[in-house]
Amino acid sequence: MEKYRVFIKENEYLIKIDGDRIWIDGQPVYAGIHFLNEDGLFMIEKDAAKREFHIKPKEGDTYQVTTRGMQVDAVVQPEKGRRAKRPAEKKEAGLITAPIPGVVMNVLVKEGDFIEKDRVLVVLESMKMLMEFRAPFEGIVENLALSKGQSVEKGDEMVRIKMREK
Amino acid sequence: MKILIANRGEIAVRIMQACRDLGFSSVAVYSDIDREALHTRYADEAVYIGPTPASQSYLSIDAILSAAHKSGVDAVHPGYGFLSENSVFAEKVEAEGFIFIGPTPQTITLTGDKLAARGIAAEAGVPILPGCDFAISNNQIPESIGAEIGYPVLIKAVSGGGGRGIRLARSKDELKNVVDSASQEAKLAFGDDHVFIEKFIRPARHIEVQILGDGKSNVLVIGERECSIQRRHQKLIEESPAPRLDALSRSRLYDAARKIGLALNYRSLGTVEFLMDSNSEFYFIEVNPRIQVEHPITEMVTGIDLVNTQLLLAASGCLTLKQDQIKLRGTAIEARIIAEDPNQSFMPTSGQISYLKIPGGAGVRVDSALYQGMWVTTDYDSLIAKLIVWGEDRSTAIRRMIGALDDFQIAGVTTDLCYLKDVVRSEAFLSAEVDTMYLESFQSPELEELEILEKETSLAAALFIHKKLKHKVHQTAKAVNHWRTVAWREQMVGYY
Repeated sequence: MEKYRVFIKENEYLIKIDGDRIWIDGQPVYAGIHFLNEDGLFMIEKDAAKREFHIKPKEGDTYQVTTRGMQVDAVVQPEKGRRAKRPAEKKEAGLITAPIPGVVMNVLVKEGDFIEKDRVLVVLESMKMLMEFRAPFEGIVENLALSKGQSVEKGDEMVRIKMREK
Repeated sequence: MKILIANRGEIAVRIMQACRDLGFSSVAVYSDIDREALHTRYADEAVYIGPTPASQSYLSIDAILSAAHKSGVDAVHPGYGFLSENSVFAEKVEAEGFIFIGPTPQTITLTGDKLAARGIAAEAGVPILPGCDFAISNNQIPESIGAEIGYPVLIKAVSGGGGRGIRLARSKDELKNVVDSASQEAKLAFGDDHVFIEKFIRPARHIEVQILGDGKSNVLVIGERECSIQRRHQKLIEESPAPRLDALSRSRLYDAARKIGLALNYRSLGTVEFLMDSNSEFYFIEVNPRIQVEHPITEMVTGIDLVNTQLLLAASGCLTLKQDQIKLRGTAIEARIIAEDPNQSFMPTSGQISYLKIPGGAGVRVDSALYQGMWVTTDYDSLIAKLIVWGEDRSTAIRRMIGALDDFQIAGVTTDLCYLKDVVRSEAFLSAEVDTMYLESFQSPELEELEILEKETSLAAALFIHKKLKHKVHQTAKAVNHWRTVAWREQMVGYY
């Protein structure tokens, strides 16, 4: 018997496979898989219905699954004895990075500033659009890695906020 | 005739299709990153025009003109976006002896100045929104302006358009800051920081009228389009004809559009945009002096190929189409598929398209420049495809749209496909009771069928991984000989 934990959005599913028997969250299902090509296109036959899926590996154990009417990221973790942990949030809460390349239009805070939640910190221009980056919580600007007019690449650190200690 | 298409993506391909229809030759232009793009392969010839940033390629007047000379074309089609609304470009194209497939440079200058366009509409007797008739810059705002018009107000770029550089101010306290940021955005996007103020009406519908003129005082009206489904002033879903529009309002709209077309002695294709309030009173917003993204829905309901007509008009100077030949039949809807993530405040996305399934069938049309293996980048506009459907009536068109959205599958880059389906299926869209602010508060519903589908997806993912691990067949294994393919496939088929 093999177990897989699948995480999609906020939900977690436990799939057990034992030979030709399959359970989802304890409920038995009858299903078969047919591979349609070697680039991740396959078909699941379940009850009287056939449904096509496409799967594409992303980072680690994350896969992008596409099917008629849905596209989601699924984290699939084979369970080896002990219970697997839900993937931890990789991003540090107070670290604000550039999501796409752009030019810094405005920096509205300076290091050491006390800032309230939702205060606009940085304005970035990208694809002729202005994007405002706001404080995720109340705190102190610990590090400011940019200045007005500077260009940033995707993933570059922009601002680091330290949460105010209560 | 030989035509250079000064654009990229789906619209470049669309114009090249029209060239093929008419037996004209087409010339594509491309930047570094577009070396392998579909539009470069679709054209009869392709000319390299410069580095990836648009400012050094698709926006470079010199680069495009030199490509036109090099390839010896007769005419230049600007498409939409890029240089399409640049009067200097149109002027130079004509000055260097080419046909510019679009309005005259004078028309582009007039329609590009949103205040001048307001003036033309007012003079033609077309209603305009209450607002100021002068430009504001350097933050000099007349004290009483907000009070005269009444809050909330919209701050718009004088040189703006296409929904860019528009900001909302709800009160006098907000006005100064909003004018500041609107003016900053205007400077950045259009190189002109002048803004003006117009009253913000709500609820309002966005309805636009397609016009076609010959530049010799003949202006045809080719139906209307409703584009109220917008996100931050960017259209997402368009429809023709506008639903729940009574015959009297429709003919008044057509008259207004024709008057503006005549006032401009309009040449080529254009669109006159209006806002309509809940009492069916409408107000002129702007003229778009070019082919529009949403032109296919007009083609679907009228049966007129707008691009073919536009090319023939440019080649001959004569309009053969007559107003009484133009009739609307059925309903057409367009959904814009964009490389943006609806779950992350529509942040642009990128990636390589590893799997692509384009819907088809009766009444379904897809305009795109997508292909499997293509890299979607954030260098240009995020529009990657347009899904257009036609139905004998509105409900058929909607069902067709839902089915086609389901069928449309793009793996490797996050798109708004699921979001579009949620919008099209929403109660307000079905009953055509939407206004331009609808998407601002729209939330995708939690549907039971989606929960079932998600569960099935989890099963599919687990089974796939299970089989892969068990048979140690890795995604990365590329070199597979035929024998192994067959053997592997047989192993995989069957129940367990």
